[in-house]
Amino acid sequence: MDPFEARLQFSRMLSTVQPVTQSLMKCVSFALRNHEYQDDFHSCIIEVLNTVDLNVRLNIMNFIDSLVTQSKKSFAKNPSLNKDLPYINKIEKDLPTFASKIVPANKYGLYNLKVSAEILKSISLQLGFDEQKIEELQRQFNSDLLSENLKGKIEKNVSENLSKSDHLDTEFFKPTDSEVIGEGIERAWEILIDRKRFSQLSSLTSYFIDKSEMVLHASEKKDKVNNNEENNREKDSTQMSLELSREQILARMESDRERHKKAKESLWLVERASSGKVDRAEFERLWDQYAPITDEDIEELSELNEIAIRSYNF
Amino acid sequence: MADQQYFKSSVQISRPFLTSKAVKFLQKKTIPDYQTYKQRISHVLSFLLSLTRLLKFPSRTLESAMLYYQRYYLFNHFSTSSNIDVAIAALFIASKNEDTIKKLRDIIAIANPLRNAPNTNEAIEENKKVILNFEKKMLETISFDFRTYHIDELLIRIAKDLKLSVDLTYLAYMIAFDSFQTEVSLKTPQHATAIACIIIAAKFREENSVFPLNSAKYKCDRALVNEALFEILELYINNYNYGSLADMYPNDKESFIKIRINIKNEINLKDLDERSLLNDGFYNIKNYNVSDTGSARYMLGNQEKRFYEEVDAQENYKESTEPKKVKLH
Repeated sequence: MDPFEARLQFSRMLSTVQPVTQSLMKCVSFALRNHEYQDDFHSCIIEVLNTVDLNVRLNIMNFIDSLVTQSKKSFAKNPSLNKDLPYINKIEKDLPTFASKIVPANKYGLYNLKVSAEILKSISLQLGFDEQKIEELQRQFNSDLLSENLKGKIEKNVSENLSKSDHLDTEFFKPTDSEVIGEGIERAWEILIDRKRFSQLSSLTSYFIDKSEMVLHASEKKDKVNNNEENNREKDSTQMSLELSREQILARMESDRERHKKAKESLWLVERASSGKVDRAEFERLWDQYAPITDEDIEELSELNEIAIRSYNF
Repeated sequence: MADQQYFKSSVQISRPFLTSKAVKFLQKKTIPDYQTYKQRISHVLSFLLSLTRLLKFPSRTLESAMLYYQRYYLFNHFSTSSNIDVAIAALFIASKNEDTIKKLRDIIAIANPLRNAPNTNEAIEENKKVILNFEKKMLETISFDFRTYHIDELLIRIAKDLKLSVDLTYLAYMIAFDSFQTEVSLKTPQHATAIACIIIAAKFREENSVFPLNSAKYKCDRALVNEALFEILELYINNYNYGSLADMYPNDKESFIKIRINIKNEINLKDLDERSLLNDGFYNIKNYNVSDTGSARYMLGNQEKRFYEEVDAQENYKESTEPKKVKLH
C-alpha cells in the first residue's frame, strides 16, 4: 500500500468509526499494521477531526484511547521498541490539540465535555500519568470552578442591563484567554477544565453563551496570528456548523449507550497470579471491600433461610 | 378417530435447595456412574478456574457457574462427551447473571485451546450452537431463578461482624473455594455454607474464642449449618488432595476427621422420605417437550399462593376437557 492510499483509507475509516469494540479494533489494527505511516496517520487524525461532526469527534477520542492501549499491548513485548512505541509519543504531545477540537470552545462543544473527560482519564492512565495527579485533575474538573466573587459580578452585570458588559466579559474569560494549545496530558486536562468553567458560566445566564462565544473567537484569532500552522485547521472547525440534527442526536444517544457498555466491560476484571487455586490478593480486595454485616442485611438473610426451608418441603 | 391434541403446559416453582436424599434420588436417575461424575467435577472446576483466570472473572462468577453446572445434572442425563460444553454454558450464564459480561464467542475462543479443541472460526460457530442449546436447557433447570447470594461476600461480612482475624477468614475463604466442588451449593443456602466454613476454619486452627457461634443471630437454622459442615468435611476426609488446603497443610487430614467426630451427634436436615420424592413431579428428569411445543412457566418460591391457584386451575380445566372414555365392545 502506498502512503497516499493508506492515508485515504485511514481517513475513511476514522470518519465512520463507532465506539464499539469491533469498529474501534478494525481501525486500531489497521493503524498498527501500517505503523510505518504513523506520522501520516497522526496528521490524518487532526485533519479528520476538523471535518467531522461532534459525534464522530468523540468516537475518534475513543479510537485514540484504544490505539494507545493496543500499541502498548502489542509492542510492549518488543524491547527494542520499548521507548518508541508507535503513535504514543505524538499522541501524548498533541493531546491538548485533540481535546480542543473534540470539545470546541462554543456551546455545541459542551455536548462532548463530560464524556471526553472520562476518556481522557482512561488515556492518561494508559500513558502512565501519575494516578494521584489524574484524580486531582478529575476532582478539579468536577468541582465548582467559579468563585463567589465572579458569580456576584455576573449577577451585577446582568442586572445592569448588560450595557457595559463587553468590558467585563473579557475579564471573566481571562483563563480561557490563554487558548494557546500547548503540549502534554496536563495541558489537555487544563483545556477541558477551562471548557467546564465556560459551561458553568454559560449555565449562569444564557445571555452569556452568545456573548462569550464572540469573546472566545476573538481570543482564538489572536492566537492564530501567533500560530500560523494552526491557522488553516482552526478556520475549518470554526466555519463548520456544529449544531446536531435530530438524527445526530439519536445516533449520539445510541453511541453513548455503547460507550457506557464498553466502560462497564472492564470494571470487574480481576488480575490473578497464574498458579495456585485461591488467590490471596483477590481475597484481600474483597476483605477491604466488604463492611461487617448490618442488621438490615441480616433481616434479608432470614428471607434466604426461608427460601431454603420452603424449597426442601414444598 | 385421531387423538385429540392437547396444548401441553407446565408450571414449576423454583426450588433452589434440595435435601441430600433428594439430590441422591435425582442423580440416580441422571448419572450412570457416580464415580466418573465426581472425578469430572474436579476436572470441570480446574477447567473453569483456568478459564476464569484467563477471562479475569471474579470468583463469584466461578461460584455461580459451578452451581449451575451441578444443578443441570440433577435434571439432565450426564455424559462425559458433552459435560465440558455444559460447563462453558454454565460459565456463560454466570457471566451474564453476575454482570461480568463476555460474549460467548470470546469465552469459547479462550476455552477451546484449554480443552485441545480446534479453534477455527467454523469450529467456534459450531460450538456456539451447541452451547446455546445447553444454555436454554440450563435456564429451565434453574427455573430462571436469578437470585444470587455469594458465599465469599457473606463469609467476609459475617467474619468481620464476629471480629475474626484476616488470616482466619482467609482460611475460611479457602474452604469456601473448596466447597465449589462439593454438592453443598445444591443443598444449603449460602449463609449456612459461609458459617460452616468459618466453623471449620476456627476448629482447624483451634481458635476457640469464636465459639459458641450462634447461627441464629444470622437467621440461619443450625440444621442447615450442620448439613453444610458434613458436606464440606466429607470432601476433606475422602478427597483431601483435591482441596486447596492440602498445599498449605499437607499432613492435616486427621484434624478434619476429628472435627467430624466431634460434631457427630448434631442434628442435620430432616430428609424427605422416598415416597414423597416419588410422588412429586418436580423430581423427574427434565422434559423439554413442553417448553418446545407448549408453554412452560417458572415461578419464584415467594409466589407460592399464585402457583397453587394456577395448578388448581389447570387441573380443573383438564378434568372438564378430558374426553369421556367410552368402552368399546
